Amino acid sequence: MLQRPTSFATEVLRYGLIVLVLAFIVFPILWMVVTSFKPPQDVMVSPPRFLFTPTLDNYVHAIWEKNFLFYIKNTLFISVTSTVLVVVAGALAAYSFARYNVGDGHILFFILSTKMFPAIAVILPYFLIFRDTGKTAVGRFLGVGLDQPGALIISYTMFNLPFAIWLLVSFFQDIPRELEHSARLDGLSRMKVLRKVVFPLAAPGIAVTGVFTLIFCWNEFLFAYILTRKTASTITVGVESFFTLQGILWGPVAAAATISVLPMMAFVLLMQRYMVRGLTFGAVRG
Amino acid sequence: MSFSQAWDAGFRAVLIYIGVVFAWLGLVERYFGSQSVSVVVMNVVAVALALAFFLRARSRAVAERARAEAEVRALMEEAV
Amino acid sequence: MSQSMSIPASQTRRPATMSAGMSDRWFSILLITPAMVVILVFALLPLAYALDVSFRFADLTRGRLGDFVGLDNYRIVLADEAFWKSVGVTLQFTVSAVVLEMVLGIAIAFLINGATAGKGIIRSLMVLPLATSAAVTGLFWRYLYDTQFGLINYFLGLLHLPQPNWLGDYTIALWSVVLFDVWQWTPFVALIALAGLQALPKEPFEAAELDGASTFRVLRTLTFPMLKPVLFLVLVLRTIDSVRLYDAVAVLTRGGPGTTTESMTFYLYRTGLKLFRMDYASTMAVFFLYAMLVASLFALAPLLKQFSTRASEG
Repeated sequence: MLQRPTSFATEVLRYGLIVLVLAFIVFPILWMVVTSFKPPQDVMVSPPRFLFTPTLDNYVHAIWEKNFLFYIKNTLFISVTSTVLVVVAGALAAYSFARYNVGDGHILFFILSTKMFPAIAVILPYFLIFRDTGKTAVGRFLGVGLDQPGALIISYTMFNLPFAIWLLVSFFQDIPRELEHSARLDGLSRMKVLRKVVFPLAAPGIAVTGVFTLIFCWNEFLFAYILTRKTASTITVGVESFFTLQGILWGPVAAAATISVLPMMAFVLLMQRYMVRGLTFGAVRG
Repeated sequence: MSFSQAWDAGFRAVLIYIGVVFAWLGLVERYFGSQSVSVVVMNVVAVALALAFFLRARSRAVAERARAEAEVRALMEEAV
Repeated sequence: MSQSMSIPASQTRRPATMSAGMSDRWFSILLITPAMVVILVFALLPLAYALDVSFRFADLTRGRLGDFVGLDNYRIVLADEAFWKSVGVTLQFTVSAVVLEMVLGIAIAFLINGATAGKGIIRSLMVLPLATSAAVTGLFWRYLYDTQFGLINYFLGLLHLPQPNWLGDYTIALWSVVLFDVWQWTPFVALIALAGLQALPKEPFEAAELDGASTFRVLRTLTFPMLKPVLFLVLVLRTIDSVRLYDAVAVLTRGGPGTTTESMTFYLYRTGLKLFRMDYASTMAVFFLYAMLVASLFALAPLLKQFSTRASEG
């Protein structure tokens, strides 16, 4: 490939700028992690202290005093359940769209338009509906009501399905059809073809979609904030409870934020190859 | 006009109707003395615009289809 | 990529004789049923509910939903100055954040694309903000913005620059929210623009080089026209997301100081769930939905259709 001859100076300038950009991007996260290890007396000081003896006090405070594990447990349960529902329903539907083109694209675009639903616009009806279902015996049994996990699971499933279907359609389109044809000719039923041939081939795509959904559920704030008070609150709301009358406890906030952010970062790094594709609903295959 | 085209055009026509209603309430209604007159006129205008849009989409679809058919016929004749 | 192996959709209609028991049509409908039930019930039902409430009197502090009032709620909201002000805030935020993110993101993509070594590490660090929740990192940004203990003002002080009250100053607060959004989403633009740059074919550029075309000319006549679809998609996605701004405002400023950072979503939330005027809030929700529907119909849908048909044709 042809490359314009670049001088040493432009290379230095280029990497200088890149380092600057990366510093801006990484620094807030880095400072969060650093702050989480600071002893309490070093957090609220001016000027900020860069040297200190690291301690786990903030983590202890977040976990014992603020009961942060409880929020993590909630988040885990709600996110994983929603993700399973989204992936199962989404994969079946996406396969149908990719292979049989049900609804001639119209249904698929209706689904996309629900993705454009601003969550805030449906949150009031959700609030009112869940307020009522929570008072019925069935609602209480299923946990579908205000401040109950079922309400969040429903919301997250609904709001991630459109995204998952779009992304999965793009993955199913990548699978050659010939294999399904020959499996059908061998006398396998459609369901068996789906289970034995298609899903194994699409496994990476399904996994990627699942992880994306998990991240979105894990990080969701609006529904969790409005539909829960205490018993079903997730971490994004839990961190808010660190506001106290004495002010915000920045040390424990940093510790809690670090705990909640790190697993998602690990996921994102694992899926780097698929980031662009996932973030554009499968449109750009980076 | 196929079902799928009709669906598309119909959906857009509904959006146009709603858009006219919103714009009317915000911008035009204040120039009317009576609210009920305004609502009637608003509905007439909105329906007219939505219908006009739908009919235009329909005639376009019909024309396109006729053109495509003519093209096919021409090709067939060439082949013979 | 394996897309090239897929067959155009027209060849998939297999003869019905192959199917034993169930036709393709019924099988395909059966497959989409679970997803469609969820979407229809949990998207359209609340939508119908919101529409219903928007035509009623509904002050939750006075108990249950009240009588129908026709279009009155729409008239009141359209005449509400605070509503229009929140629309203004949303537009101001959207335009400034999206423009900054696009310009910086594209510049960064070019910067990284030209780098010879370390692209992998650079990209790994770039994706990190995308993994974080605006509610969690946004909260921590309050600490960075703090006038007393904040790191940003500390650095500004070292450089002998003015140290603004980032979240408390009427003229600056919205820009602080913009800055946070830029921090979180510029990598998104850069990442996708970079993917677009790396997918460009080599030949036209080699030919231009042989012709001795200037760098600027190559950019203007080759690179940008070829990148346009990808960049436009990013632009639309970012715009739709910015209009829905809520999390950052909720944790950074809560609409304050005064109502200077009160976005439309935040005003809707305050009207509905703090003042309990569900009728006005539902009306705003209907406006909002309408705007998003029009936007996605005219901007996003054709765009994604273009991408997905191209992909399936290989």
